[in-house]
Amino acid sequence: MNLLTSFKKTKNSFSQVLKELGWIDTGIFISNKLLRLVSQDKLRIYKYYLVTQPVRDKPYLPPHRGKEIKIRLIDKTDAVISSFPRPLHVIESRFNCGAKCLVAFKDGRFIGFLWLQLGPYQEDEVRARFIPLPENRAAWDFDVFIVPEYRFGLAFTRLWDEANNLLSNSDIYWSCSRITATNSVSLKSHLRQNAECLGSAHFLCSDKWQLTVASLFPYFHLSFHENSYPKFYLKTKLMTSQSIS
Amino acid sequence: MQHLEEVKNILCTVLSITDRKDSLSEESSLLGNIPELDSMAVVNVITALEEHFNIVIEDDEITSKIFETLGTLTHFIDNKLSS
Repeated sequence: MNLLTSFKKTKNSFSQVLKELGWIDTGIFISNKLLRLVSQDKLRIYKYYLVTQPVRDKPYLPPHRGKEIKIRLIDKTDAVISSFPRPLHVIESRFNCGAKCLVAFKDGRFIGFLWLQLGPYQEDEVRARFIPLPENRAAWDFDVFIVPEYRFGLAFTRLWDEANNLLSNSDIYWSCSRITATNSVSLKSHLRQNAECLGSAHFLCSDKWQLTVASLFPYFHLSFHENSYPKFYLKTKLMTSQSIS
Repeated sequence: MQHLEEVKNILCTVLSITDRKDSLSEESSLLGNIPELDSMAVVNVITALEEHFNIVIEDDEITSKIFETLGTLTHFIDNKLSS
């Protein structure tokens, strides 16, 4: 491939990223790439958008849809865990922290999962704790995975219908989550589902320390060890879940 | 592609992207190219297609393959109508 073709490809890729992310997040994206390159991955930048969405009391799927997909709440002894594309120690840690895991099956095969924390969530990618409020009325959702061949089928919506059911039955009205800034598709998808963006947080991480700068309290945090982390109190609206047409 | 325009109209109306209708052709990629067409929206599109064409689309037929392009989606509908 000659230089001109290579340049055109890079320019098109940059334009595409810029179109999806905007200038600021594109700048962060590129800065992170460069930083990781020069530091041999010792320095990393993460940016999260913190969002909250109402728990639906009306399912996404009409009653005749998705009946072949079975959803089950599992515990840490369930054999299906061996099929999860996640390290075992991560799964164990989640359960030890009280997280709940809904798993989707089709014809007995594992096809996806969705995790919920009915309370504060300790992030594992950066040093941070996310505390959905009000306590006992807001939860945290994370790590929704669908096996690739089942994506854009009904597994995703079936999982969310069950998740909303579980949350609703637990008197939870809002669910919060964090979306990586480069995942513009997910962010836009959330916003289309009546999610609200509560703010954003940037993390500059090394193996030993972490600098946090955020648009919500505590705004700034410097951590020199793993037990030091910013706590984000995510204030959702105190309201009953509404039907969304 | 007998029903291309109808399928296009339904898609654009359900996804609220009527401003982009004229830019869509048979070869236009759908999944991954139209951000509004996510897993949630797929169900709404399928329901609208069923209602408009008076057809039944089974769960197992809802795959990423039929949503590859506007052409594959229209081809799928044409086949449903002729069978």
